[in-house]
Amino acid sequence: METLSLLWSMMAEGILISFASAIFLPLIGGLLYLRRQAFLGVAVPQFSAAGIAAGLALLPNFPSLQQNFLDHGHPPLSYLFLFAGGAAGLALLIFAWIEKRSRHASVEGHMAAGFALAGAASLIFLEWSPSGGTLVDTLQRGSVVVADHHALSIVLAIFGLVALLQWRYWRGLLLVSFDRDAAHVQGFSSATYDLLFHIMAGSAIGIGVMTLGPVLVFGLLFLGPWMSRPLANSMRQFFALIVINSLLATGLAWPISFHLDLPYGPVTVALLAVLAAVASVAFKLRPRRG
Amino acid sequence: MSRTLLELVNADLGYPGETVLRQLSLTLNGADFLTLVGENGCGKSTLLRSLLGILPPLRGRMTRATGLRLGYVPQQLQLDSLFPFSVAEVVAMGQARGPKPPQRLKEMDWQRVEEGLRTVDMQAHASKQFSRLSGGQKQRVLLARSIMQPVDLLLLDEPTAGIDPDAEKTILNTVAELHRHGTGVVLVTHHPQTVSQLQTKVLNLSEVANEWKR
Repeated sequence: METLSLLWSMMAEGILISFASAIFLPLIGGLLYLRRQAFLGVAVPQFSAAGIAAGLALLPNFPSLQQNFLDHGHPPLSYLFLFAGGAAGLALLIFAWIEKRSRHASVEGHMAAGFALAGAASLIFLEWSPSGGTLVDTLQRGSVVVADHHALSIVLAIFGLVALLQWRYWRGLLLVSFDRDAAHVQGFSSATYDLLFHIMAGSAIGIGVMTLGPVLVFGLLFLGPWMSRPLANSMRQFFALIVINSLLATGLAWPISFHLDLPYGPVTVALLAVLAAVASVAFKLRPRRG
Repeated sequence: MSRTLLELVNADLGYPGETVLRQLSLTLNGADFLTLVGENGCGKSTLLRSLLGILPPLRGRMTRATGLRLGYVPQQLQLDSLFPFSVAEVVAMGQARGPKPPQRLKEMDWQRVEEGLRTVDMQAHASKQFSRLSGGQKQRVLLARSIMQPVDLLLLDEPTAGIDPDAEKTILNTVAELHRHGTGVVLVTHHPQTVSQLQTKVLNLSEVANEWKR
């Protein structure tokens, strides 16, 4: 209990950000997984990371932002989000365009190439901005490093937008994702819904990479859906299981990483996997009717 | 005299750079039951997708009656089994009409889903996972989905392909019943004998394609 109150007093913003991410990122990841676009969820965070690195490389051009970096250890989040969210959104749009244009090409191949390119770009941009290396390294470890009050407000604003879009368009998005032809016949524009989904995914992944780092974002996006799919009998169950699993893992990871002195991100990902394994075993051993 | 629902005039159908059917003219009236038959690759699905408005004609014109309400039953194999939709959730999709985003479902909507499932004798399976049903059961669920709202013209893509005789009977009886109540029907099949007991017009697209090639 003492640990929890100590953690809360030190990292309330980080804890709140991790819980918000544990709700919204898995919902996005679940839909990416069902649309068989999981590879996209792996490539896009890498683009966000490249965007952050580009933002850091360009920082010396903006003296006031540079000063902010020197004072706080990171530039203003709105500046970073411009690059992280922008790169994620741009990558999603480019992949969607390629998918639409080339009917016979391997979309996965394009994403894999994009992943490699974005990884290389991140390292080159960081080379131009050596001071940013520390920040990116901390992000890789998922230490929710930039989680001050300002970060929390930006994260809540972005996730608020994602929540609003999900609340309004989720059912249409599921229909378009499952059966595009029927959606068309029923008067829904696949292109519009795809664009909305890309905005949601780009924003959520962009802000996630900025505050939690790519490793934790990958984990939250895909470990939940991977675990929940065999256990769920309906979409409602599928998404509920994903969110419960993610909330449990992100919550438990705080005291565990604190006690074991391990980085928060990898601990959360490991816990997501452990919870997934426990749920799968429990499901297999459950008493059956009849 | 029933109204004209849909009309194709000298229409070339297919994909950009790949014309599948040429100069096709076709009129569908409210009381029509048209069966599309033909060999693989002769253009049955292309014509169906054009009638649905998914593939606009490459040339010629297609006109639709104002406010025409279409219903569509895809082949169950086209749908990805990765989605863990329950049977009730699949049928509930049929209540959505764009372009406005679909509303949250209310108690009354779920009752309508139950009624829809009863029409195709699938009410006992409402909470099961759609992807775990047999092919025939899935096809019945998709038929229920397509008639969750009033429909002027129902288009079915091989609804009896690879399904058991009971499911085939339920599907054809339901479609015949809808037709008796004034719904126009376009049905694609590989096996015209399955609809031979129904009074339908038959369009053999293999012959149409051969005619054009000559």
